[in-house]
Amino acid sequence: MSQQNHNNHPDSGILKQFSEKEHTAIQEVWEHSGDAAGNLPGVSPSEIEEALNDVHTRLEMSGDFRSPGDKIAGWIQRHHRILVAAVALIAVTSLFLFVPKTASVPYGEIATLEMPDGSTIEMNSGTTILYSRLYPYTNRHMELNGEAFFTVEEHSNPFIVEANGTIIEVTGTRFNIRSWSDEPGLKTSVTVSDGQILFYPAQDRSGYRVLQDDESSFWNIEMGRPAEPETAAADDVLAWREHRFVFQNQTVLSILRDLERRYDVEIELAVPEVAFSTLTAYYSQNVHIETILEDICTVKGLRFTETANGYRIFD
Amino acid sequence: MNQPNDQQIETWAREIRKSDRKAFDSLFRAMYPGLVRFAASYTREKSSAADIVQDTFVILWQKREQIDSNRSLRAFLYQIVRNRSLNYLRDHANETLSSDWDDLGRQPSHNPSENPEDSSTVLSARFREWISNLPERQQEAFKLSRFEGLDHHEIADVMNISAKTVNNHIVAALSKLKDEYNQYQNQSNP
Repeated sequence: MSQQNHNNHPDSGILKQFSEKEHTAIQEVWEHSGDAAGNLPGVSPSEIEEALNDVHTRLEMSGDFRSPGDKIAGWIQRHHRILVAAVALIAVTSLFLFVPKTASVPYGEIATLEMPDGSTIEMNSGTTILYSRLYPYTNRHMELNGEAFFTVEEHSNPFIVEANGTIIEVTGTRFNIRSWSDEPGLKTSVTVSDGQILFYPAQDRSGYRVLQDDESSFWNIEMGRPAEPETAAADDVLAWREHRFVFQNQTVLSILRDLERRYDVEIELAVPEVAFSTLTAYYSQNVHIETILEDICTVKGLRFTETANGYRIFD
Repeated sequence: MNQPNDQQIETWAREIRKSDRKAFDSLFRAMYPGLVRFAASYTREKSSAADIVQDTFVILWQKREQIDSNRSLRAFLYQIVRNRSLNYLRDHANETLSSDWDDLGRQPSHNPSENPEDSSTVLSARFREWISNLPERQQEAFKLSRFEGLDHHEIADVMNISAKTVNNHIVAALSKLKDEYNQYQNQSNP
């Protein structure tokens, strides 16, 4: 029994409490009883990883995994956008070298991840991608939490992205996924710029949708399969890549989370009843966060104030 | 999988207190199978056992700053799992538990090609039966010692009793198992 190798003998203090002639029997009892444990339910390595993933998701959703962003990089961003992209690229590249399985972009930054097969992944602030150490040799499978734009090179292995309960399967194409684990209903939206992908819930491949050039679709936990593909306003969906914001009937809660990630601040919404009301707004590059907050407050009849690490919106 | 040694767990505990997520992941990977097995020995279901253990790790992370360096982290985890398993049993006392344990229990664990009539398989089945017939507290102390590799101080901490009592439980359990084992041997080799 390999499982009990560490524990081959009873505690020496225990043995002393039996008479000498009983020692052999006790030792045998100890050894044989170890085999009785081997028949209890086993846990496979993939079950461990799934369970760990669930724990991560729960901690992320409850905010316990939130890490403070890089303040210095945030300062540089306000002055030199290109420099930040370079710094972030170096950061992500070194992450790739030292921790080959995870790439994440801090709050306040946007970065591009270049994969060994030539595929590139532009990642929005706060996004995390996990991928196989053996990419691209045995598979091109990865997990996304956040928002990213993928430019996928053709390869013999399919490129598969798992995002909060959905799977996006492609060969060679360019597309955007938005899938935040803290989004209500775990909504995942996919928009294809060119090429073709399959989009389906992780537990049901037969519910797939085929998305082609300029089409988008979405899925949330209440849906059996992703929505019928529609023609996408690709320019709006991809605004984040140019540091712009486009909010199309987006809930206030979701907008505030976008702002938190992009500007690396914490925003407290003291008026929960407006959280799920929606807004539509467009902003060009380098807009100041307070401009956006002012607009939200004007429309919703609210006020905001600065706090130690961000803002508070109140009635 | 071998249980990680005490020193390794202490190192992880220190790093987790400093919010190191990698240490948390390593601890999780090392401890999860044993803790699930332990929880399932109460709930008799793998799914509820897995839930209990995952809850335990969520709590561990949320309270990481309060991890006590003078206390065994292993004991801390087993204690939470034990308490939650007992609560689970209390809350589900009047439900008939449909057990996935029995199916799993029938699978020969170490060698699937092995003949099920093999004497060692029969013997471990007997041991399972004898262990399950031990008084509850003796059984718990014995399993924590034998299957989970906890030392007597850790078991005392988990079960909220003194180390002396742990010792007594384990000695009593071994002594009963020894009697059963002797009797069994005399029957099969008259």
